[in-house]
Amino acid sequence: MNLAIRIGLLAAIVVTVQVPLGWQRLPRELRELDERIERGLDVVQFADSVNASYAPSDTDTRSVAQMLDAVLEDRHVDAIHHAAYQPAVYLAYLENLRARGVTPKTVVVPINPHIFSPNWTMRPDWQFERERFALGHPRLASFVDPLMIFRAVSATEASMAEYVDAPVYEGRQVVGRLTSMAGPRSGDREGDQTARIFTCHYMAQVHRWMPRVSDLEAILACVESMGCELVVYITPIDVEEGERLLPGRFRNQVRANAEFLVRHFAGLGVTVHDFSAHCEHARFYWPVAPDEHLDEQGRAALAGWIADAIRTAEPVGAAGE
Amino acid sequence: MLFNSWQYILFFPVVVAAYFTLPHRARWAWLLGASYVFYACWKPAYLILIVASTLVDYVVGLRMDGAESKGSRKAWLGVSLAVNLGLLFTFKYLGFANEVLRGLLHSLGWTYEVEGFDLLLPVGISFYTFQTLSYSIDVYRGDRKAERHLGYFALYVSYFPQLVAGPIERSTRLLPQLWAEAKWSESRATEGLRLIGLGMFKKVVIADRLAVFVDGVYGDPEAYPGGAALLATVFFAFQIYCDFSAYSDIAIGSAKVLGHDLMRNFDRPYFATSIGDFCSRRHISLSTWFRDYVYIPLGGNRVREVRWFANIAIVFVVSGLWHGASWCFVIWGALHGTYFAVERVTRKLRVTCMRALGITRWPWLQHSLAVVTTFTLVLFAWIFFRARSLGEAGLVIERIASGWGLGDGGLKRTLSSLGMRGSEFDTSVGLIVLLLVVQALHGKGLASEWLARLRMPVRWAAYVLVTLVILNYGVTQEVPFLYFQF
Repeated sequence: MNLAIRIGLLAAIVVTVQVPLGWQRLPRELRELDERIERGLDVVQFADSVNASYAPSDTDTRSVAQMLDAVLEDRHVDAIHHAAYQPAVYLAYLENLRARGVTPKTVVVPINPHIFSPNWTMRPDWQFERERFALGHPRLASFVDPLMIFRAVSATEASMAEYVDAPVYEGRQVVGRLTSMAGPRSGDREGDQTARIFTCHYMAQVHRWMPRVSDLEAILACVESMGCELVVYITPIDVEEGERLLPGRFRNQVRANAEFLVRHFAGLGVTVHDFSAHCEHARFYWPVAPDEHLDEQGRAALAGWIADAIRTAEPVGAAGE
Repeated sequence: MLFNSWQYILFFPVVVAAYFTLPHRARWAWLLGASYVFYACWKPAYLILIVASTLVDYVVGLRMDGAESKGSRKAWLGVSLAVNLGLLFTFKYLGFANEVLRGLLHSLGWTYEVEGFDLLLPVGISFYTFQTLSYSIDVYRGDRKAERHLGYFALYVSYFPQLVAGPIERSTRLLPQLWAEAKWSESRATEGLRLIGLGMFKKVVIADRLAVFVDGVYGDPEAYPGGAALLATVFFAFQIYCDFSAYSDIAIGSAKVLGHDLMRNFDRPYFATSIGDFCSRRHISLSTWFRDYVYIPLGGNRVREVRWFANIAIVFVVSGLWHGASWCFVIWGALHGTYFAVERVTRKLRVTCMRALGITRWPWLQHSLAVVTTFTLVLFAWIFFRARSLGEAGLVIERIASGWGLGDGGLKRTLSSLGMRGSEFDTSVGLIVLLLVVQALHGKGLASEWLARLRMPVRWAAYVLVTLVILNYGVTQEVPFLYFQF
């Protein structure tokens, strides 16, 4: 058989198998989107791992979204969530919905203070390029992996090596690199490593030029063009523990960042609900260090606060008017 | 241009189609242009270095050919050595030499204020300078006549399949092939494409997957327990093999489609039964380069034992330095040299011990022991190759020596901090096992030749499977070919 025919035949077989295989390899959140849209979208809650993580001692293991759905008796909540999802991913989903002409009544967007850290901004596996590309180019969704492998679609900008060497900020000062901050050190006393993790996660000063802030601004613009109500909130973090480990610094930095976000987005006509310091230390659970994952009481409280915000929600732009 | 990029997927068929369409007299120009485009995709300005190296060695070759006295030939060879090694030194070793000098003078209590040099290392400079040097030395020795056609000579220096990471080809082998009129051959093209496919598999499915674990642990060795450091080192051994041999496979495959045979660069190195055997199975084009142009001119093994030790030390340390300008590479090379020398000195003693223990009665056990011992020694040396500094290498060794546990959270905790799923880790281990099984099955030949011998339905199933695995289970994160940095 002629080589060209053989290559053509191989390509045809591969493409035929690739279409269903590629689709199946897409994340569940993406594959379920069509089904959800068909059912109709009322409240769309975007979320990261804070939504569904629960403590081993919890008897109620429902996610924040499920609790919210129960609290909002007359509304239906659809959660689009995945560990480490961040505003760039939320934006991709929203642009996909807008392109399809789908308009949920309310969109709920969390701002986890952790998203501004190099740990989240640069970590290669937390960039979700596959989802973002597939959402932006649904017809090519089955081919997203091949396109990324051969660099036709930009993969992560930072490599793993660049990520581990990323600068860690306290305020605007570089205080170390991820390589030297996140892991245990010989001579560490109790809490030293956790303190460094808190610094890595939350201590950078948030400013308007950060990519995640730009993503949030783009979300506002997108939601405004869709005519939806928008609820934006800052997720709770363990301020008590942070302040114990970084006394006199942690609470101030978290507050300063929250104030910046509230002020900045108020200027754009959006109310940002600041729940960052709303939960006491006992409400947090995490196997390594307590930081942002909540136990059942914490999740229930958060669901209640989000419900209150939804009840008073307005379309984007109204808050600043 | 990366082999595993859409640019190469478009570039290569266009180059091949035009190459076989053009009349033979125009082909060298087409391939030369393609090779320069291939290189310029990285950094066009550094083409100047290749062109300069080409022109110098072209002129040197002609002058040596025409020189009547040996002294004159030697002087021209000196020019080639000075220019090529000068370029290499400037771009690769100047910063390191400066640091060494600074340390030396400071230890003598002198002040040395010259700042470090931060030059971008031109991709492939170590490969093409060694290739041109081999040409000049061959002409000097009278092993070949000088190439009179500048175009063909420039193509020999910059031939794109092997330009940036080898195999380092000899002019006596490659130039005649470039001159000969290559005929399109479907069987050769099929063989070449098979090699390219298998190379892609090794690179994007195996090597880049292993890199995630390796980069994470070696990026912060203090944060990980001994077990993780050991696993990362084992993974690195297979990562670097798959990465580099993949590049060689794709290079050899691409050249094969064009009608040219490049030398084999790897022969299942982790099946080696001694360090000498390992060196003859890994990066063969570099090992033979050092053998022919450094070791033998130094006297090889036809010298007194003390001199032989010195020769071995020189060859292995320089070979280490070839890989990179740091003490880690020096140690890596020196370790191999030490292994090699100890191996030779203790040969009789080892045989006696084996006999005394009765191991020689079971050749398979003797063979397995030799393979495992060689791999362990090589593994230890890889720590220095991968670590960014001697301090980090020491830290990794300290971690491994302190125990092979995986800490409080076990493997799950390690993987979580690396952003790696458990299934990804299992896949990585499975791929290493698969690689070793396939290599054991296909024996001395190439995996692509083994594949070609399978029955047609099995072979086609393998083609479809390999392609789908590359397309779907390749690693999307960009991991440059490791040997680009050398």
